[in-house]
Amino acid sequence: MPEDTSKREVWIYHINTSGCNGCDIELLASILEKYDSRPFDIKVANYPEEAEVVMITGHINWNNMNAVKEEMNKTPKHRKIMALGNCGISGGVFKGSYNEAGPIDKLEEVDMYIPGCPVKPEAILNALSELVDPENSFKLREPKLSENYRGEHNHYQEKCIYCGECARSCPSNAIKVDREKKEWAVDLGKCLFCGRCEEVCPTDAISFSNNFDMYKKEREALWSKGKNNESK
Amino acid sequence: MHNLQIPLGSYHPLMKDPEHFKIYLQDGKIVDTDLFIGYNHRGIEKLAEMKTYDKLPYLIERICGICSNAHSSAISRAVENAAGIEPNKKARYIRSVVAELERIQSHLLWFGTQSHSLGFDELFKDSLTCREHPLDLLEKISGSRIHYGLSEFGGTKKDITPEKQGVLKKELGEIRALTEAMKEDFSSNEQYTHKLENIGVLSKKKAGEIGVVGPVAKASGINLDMRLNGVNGAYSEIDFEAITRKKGDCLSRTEVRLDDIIQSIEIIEQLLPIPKGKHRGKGRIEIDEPIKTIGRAEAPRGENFHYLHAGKKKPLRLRIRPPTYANFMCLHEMAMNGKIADAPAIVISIDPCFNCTDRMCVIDLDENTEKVRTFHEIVEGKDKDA
Ligand code: SF4
Ligand code: SF4
Ligand code: SF4
Repeated sequence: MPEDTSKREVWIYHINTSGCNGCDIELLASILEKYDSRPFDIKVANYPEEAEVVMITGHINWNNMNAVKEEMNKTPKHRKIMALGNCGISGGVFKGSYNEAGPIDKLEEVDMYIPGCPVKPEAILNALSELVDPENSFKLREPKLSENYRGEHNHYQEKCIYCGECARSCPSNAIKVDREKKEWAVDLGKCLFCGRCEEVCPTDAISFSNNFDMYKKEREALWSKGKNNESK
Repeated sequence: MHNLQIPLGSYHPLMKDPEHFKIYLQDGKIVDTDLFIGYNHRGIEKLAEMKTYDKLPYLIERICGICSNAHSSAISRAVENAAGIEPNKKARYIRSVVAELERIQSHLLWFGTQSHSLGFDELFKDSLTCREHPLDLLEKISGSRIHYGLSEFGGTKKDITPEKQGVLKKELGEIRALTEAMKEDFSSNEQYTHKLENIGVLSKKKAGEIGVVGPVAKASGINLDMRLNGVNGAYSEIDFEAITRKKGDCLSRTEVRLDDIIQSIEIIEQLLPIPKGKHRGKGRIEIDEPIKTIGRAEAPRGENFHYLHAGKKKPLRLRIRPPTYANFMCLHEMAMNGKIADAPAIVISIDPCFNCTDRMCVIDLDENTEKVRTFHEIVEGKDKDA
């Protein structure tokens, strides 16, 4: 094959299945020029047959379950699936609703999970490059994050008294605290990055790092014990 | 001379919001329309009954990724009313600033979508690029570009420090310059304005009867803006008037929104500097007696109405009437007797937000096997052979 100097094209097909639209808009934003320092060109596929990467947002309800199944059947065999945002990964804050039929990994094997609520456009691009081009996996320059930005949690074990207050206050039940074993873990696939746990912790054992690249290939790997001493 | 039925942008989990319009044609004229919603239903009202008040705003703001602050501030007002507390002065200012930034980004997104759907991709790009500014400002203030998590009862979680106010002021100048340029590009683009002028007219009388809200009402000459009623935020302390137009066509609705962006910038400039004082409120709250209250806010799309039957720790019932729900009903009126090629412009001109609306509908969808057309295809006239 002749050397192609132009950028490699990646065809993405986006399926919106009853999320809040936040991740869909961030996906749209990630196609903007502002984020254009990447070695590939994103093309939006209009038909499932063209999909190279299928991006799923939302937790799938009973109304669109069949449509999603149909669409997935039309996509080519070798396509990869990415679940975007915590409702795409686990149902997130909508977990427990009577109209919850998903999430997508009940139907298909997901190749990449990108946590966030909403996901950061930069995280989408980094995860995409990791997925389609793992050899020369490329990272966007560190974006300028505001000092308030809430990424993956820091958890300071030396401060934590394992009282469980964070777990009780979490709006999407993402934290597990084991008082006996002195274990603390957060499910980044469920977390809304809302900041409530940081607020209620009596000993300031939680803060937020600016790590937005939390994507993982396995669902289980999204459980995080929290970073430690990561600077803000 | 048979009746032709065209499903417009029928539901498919595509990039665009899920929606399903049926348009009935006779002799090339639209003679009837049907609307189906509910594909995005998540059962939020029921979920709300399971959340204690401190967790409630986080759920409610996730109704919609575009107007999340409008929802969370409306529910805060409803709970505050139930508990009998008033937000402190500083918090009211901060809520208003965030609400206006949200309006700016929402209108820019809408303008981008309209431009894209009607085939003006340059403006689509300009508009979305400009939209990154308010989003970055929101991240600076709240820590997140979309779901801000600022809501608290009686206050807000984060402060806008004087230093941030300085950045805000500077960035606003930039947004203003970009928006003015875009407005200029838009109004001098005859091809574009031609596609909107005298299309989808909604008279003042009809608009009043149907009860539309927000920019749709304002474009038909109705002076309706919840900000002026002082139900939420610090708007009563500054000076502005609702932007209105008389004609009620798609062009007026576009103009109202573009002018709204500029007005929002002016409002924030008036709100600065934010008064000194305490901004925090309470997260946990208990209500003594069950009570029925409402909370309202002017979302980018119009009045957002939350009815709350408050129990002790959790809502007993929550009913949310988002603006698009009120505005949907006018689509039929606007589209009647029009041409099929204008239908997408009409639908987009009410800035439909399906995520807000799709919460409380019983759907009876009969499968339609006709080929589905996207907005784009109709605008480009690919429906001819239908
Ligand atoms: S993950 Fe959060 S931001 Fe994304 S679609 Fe779901 S609720 Fe919206
Ligand atoms: S609230 Fe703080 S101290 Fe208590 S378990 Fe959570 S992190 Fe540990
Ligand atoms: S930020 Fe903390 S409280 Fe909020 S969802 Fe995540 S783990 Fe729960």
